Amino acid sequence: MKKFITNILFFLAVTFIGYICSLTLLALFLPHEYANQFNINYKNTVGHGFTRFSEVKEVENIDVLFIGPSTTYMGFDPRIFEKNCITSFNLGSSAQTPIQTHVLLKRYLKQLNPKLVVYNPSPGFFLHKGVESATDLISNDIIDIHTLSMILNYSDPTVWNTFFYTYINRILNLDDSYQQDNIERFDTYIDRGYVSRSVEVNLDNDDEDSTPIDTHTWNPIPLQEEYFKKNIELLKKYKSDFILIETPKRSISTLKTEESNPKIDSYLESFGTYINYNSTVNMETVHFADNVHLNQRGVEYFNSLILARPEFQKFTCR
Amino acid sequence: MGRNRDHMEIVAKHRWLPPLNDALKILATFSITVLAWVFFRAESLGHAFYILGEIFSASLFEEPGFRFFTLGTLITGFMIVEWLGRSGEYAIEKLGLEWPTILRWGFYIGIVLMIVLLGGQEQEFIYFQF
Repeated sequence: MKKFITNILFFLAVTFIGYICSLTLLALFLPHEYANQFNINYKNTVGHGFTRFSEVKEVENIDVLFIGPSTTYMGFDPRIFEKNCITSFNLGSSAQTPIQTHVLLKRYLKQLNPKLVVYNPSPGFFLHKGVESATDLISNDIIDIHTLSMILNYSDPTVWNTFFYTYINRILNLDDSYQQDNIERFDTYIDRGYVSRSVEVNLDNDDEDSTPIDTHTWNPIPLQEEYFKKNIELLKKYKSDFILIETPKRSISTLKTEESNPKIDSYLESFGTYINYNSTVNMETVHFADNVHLNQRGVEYFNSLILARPEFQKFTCR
Repeated sequence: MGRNRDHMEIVAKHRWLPPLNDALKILATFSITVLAWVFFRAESLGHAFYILGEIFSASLFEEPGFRFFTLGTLITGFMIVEWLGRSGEYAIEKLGLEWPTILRWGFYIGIVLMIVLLGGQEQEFIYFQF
């Protein structure tokens, strides 16, 4: 029995060494696009995460922080707020779930020191484990204790492969020269985390996502609920004012239907000021780049509504 | 009459590769079985014929998509193991029994790495609905 256990432990150790060697060989000899065929998601997500997380490191002491998934980084334009003398940064990221929001808040909240946090929790993402968003953070931002804490929540091989692959790349300085284009298809990284999409929704795809869903079956993953509560506690601990906002969706989007659920509304209202713009405003098709993301025209209109809110009245041009 | 016990011998016994005739028969049996499984798994006859229609469409001549090289390599590897182990009760019955420890462990580690680096998503077992 003792020999068996010894053999097992030795086998596991050798396997781990083989695993690291395999990832090292992939890092050294294969371009990232091919390495991503091996259950690795290295710098392979949309949303300009690398550029955003690089820029945020140079920013301190802002008035407003925006945080949430892609509807955030495509929903709040810091330039519009700046015209009203409000400094801001948009820390949205692709498919961000509460777990990843927690990492970003722990990492940047103190440095950014915002007077107000606009948190777009997007309840649809409470139903996901957040693998894509986790790999986005791992490969595009620094690796620190918060990264380690995050990946311990995952058993998905893609998260762990991406973590070790990224770490190997960093140690061997293989990604020092990496640059991310500011323009990816229809998306342009503007400034301070904001990404603009200038197209309008393709009306030929009117039927996309129009399948009705049962709006009473919002069953969030317990871990995401737990991290959402931690995020709220963190904001309270740092004494940041915060508001929870749901960005508007196109009327036929199932996400709009899902996020108009009274059960979700009352749940989020229990944590603080919550405004669901799916319920309070009907924006037109021309305001949308697709069923859930605003285009520039939509952002300008939506942000004008946000600026009219009482929470923003304390920010005045001197 | 009484032909159901014909062709029970190991195909291409004592040969590395089958004769062309046998190879074509293997290919034909495999193809017919795979196509029959479409009916096995489809939700309805209509669904099955739809799938067959999609298989035998112009897409047959298009470049395969995601992970073609990886899948092709893995499938080739599996087929080689099946072929080499064809005389056993099952393909891997005798595989590696006489290998030195270092080679066997290397093989096991290779399988673990393939699962971790090439593994897909959870799939429903093919016989589940039974």
